[in-house]
Amino acid sequence: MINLVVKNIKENYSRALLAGLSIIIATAALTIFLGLEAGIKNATFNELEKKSPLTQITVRPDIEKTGIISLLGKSSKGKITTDKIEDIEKIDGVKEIHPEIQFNHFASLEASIFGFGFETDSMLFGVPYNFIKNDLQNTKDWEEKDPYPAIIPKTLLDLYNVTIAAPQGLPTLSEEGLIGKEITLYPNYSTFFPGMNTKKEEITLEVVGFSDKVNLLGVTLPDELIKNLNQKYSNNKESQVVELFVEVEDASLTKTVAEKIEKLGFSTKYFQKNLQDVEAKLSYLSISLGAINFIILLTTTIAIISTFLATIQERKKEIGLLRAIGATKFHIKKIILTEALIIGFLASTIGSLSGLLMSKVINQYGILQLEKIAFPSEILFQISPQIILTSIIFGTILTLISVYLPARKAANLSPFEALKK
Amino acid sequence: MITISKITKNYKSGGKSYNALANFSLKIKPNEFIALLGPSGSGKTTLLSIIGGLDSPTNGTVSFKNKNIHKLSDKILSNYRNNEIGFIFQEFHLEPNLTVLDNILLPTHFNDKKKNKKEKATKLLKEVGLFKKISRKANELSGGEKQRVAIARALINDPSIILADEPTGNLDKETGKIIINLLKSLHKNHKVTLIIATHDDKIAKAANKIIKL
Repeated sequence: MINLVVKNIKENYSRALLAGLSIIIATAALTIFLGLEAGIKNATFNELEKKSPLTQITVRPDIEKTGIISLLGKSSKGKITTDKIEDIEKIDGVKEIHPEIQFNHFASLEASIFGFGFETDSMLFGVPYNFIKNDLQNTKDWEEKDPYPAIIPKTLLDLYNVTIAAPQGLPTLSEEGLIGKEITLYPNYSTFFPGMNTKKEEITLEVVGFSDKVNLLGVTLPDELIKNLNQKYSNNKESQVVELFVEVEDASLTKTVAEKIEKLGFSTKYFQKNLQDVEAKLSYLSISLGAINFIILLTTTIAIISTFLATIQERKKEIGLLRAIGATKFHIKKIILTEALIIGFLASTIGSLSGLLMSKVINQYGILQLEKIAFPSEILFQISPQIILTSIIFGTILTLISVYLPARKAANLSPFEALKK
Repeated sequence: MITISKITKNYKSGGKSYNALANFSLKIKPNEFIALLGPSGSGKTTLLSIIGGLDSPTNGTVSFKNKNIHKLSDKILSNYRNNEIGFIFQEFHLEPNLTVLDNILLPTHFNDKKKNKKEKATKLLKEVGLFKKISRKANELSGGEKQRVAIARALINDPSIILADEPTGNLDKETGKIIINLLKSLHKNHKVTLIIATHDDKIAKAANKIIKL
């Protein structure tokens, strides 16, 4: 039987090739789309996890409950006070608490990049060393003075590269290029409102890392420096904690601890809470890719059906002969479906591997492009062996389903009519 | 062995109805050699197809061993064609890209008679005088050789009836004669019922019984 099947494929190789090409295109597209979906999902989740690890809860005053007026006022209601921090520390499962403080006045930064001088206002945040240590790219100590270490939000860098550098044709900035760069900080001075104050003090900062962990709107500095600046410029006023980063012992405890913190009157943010929302948003991507894929697969199905119908029309006499020498309808279906299985499997395998190859090429090219505009340089396509296997199985099954109708038609041919001259 | 009772076959084409066979009856005994003689369009091929289970009559019955073959399921009817009938066609209907041996073995793919099938095919090839070309592809053979392969293929499953539709129609006179003589000797040696459809009186004379259509 297999002799007959192989012979048939060889005899009708042009049609087999045509059907095979459609399957190759469909499975390559399927592999690429599945890889793209996996890549985007992984990149998104990785980015999210980097900003908010599974064991981290960001705690903020609950504006909805407290009201913005109260937060700005002198009352301690809703604010993150030392007492409240102690209450949070007592919650089971809390491992460590990192307070984030903020400089209460204007601050201005001045730097020279590519020979151009930049001066802009910025918010200044302070965090303890333990919280930021993983984002420090060199061994420079967080306690270092003159220059003081500074961490820049990654997003700010991306924003410059995408919205300023790319459209203006200016050179893009890379993390490596900025590490070690010195920036001058003018506390209590605004470039936007220069008349309000004068540049009384000059503090030298050095870029030591990039992170989106703390705040996307400003520069992160050692908390001791912020405390000192607040005391100096606010008449010994203590620094207000604007955010807390609570580390829990185990990811399974995150939700429980967060709920207990919320009961203390704060709002919380953590990875698991955002996940559902992100997943819902990503499902739109899956649906869009699925819809494109569906159209490709539908076109492929039509191509396979019409190719096999034409083949059967050409092979009418052969089918008639097989029926005359004893083949049942089932035998005819079996022969044609075995042909489809071989073509489908080979073409799906070639298609999946082509998809893998294409995605590797696009990845290579894509990463270079992504680096230029400084998007996260995660791999765009992530094609796992499971995706390859899924594409091969799907392609083969699709071929079999598509060929079933022509196979049934062939089996139901009247042998007498089929053998007619 | 086969009883054909009052069969009629009508065809419809272009809105018109054509009558290929009308009220035809015949009893075929084992080991008979029958010639169906008639001009083109007289219903010879239709009759052979109905006997062989490739087509069914509009009216009437065809019984093989007292069973109406046109009431059989597809599986049993296919089994009847495979085991009891051997077809020989005017156009040979060989698989051009298969070897002579593979062509002869083709009907064995659809039954369980797997034992010694190659030996049997070789023996049949020797009988039809084509053993030397056992490994040749069918498309490399002459018309006469192709028909010999078709004859060997018809005999591979030891059928009880051989149905030959104008077996010399595509051959020259001399080759045709050789094929008819071959069929005659095979009919004798294999004790098989042979029914030939022909429009040629001379070929019909080789049979024991001539049925004019």
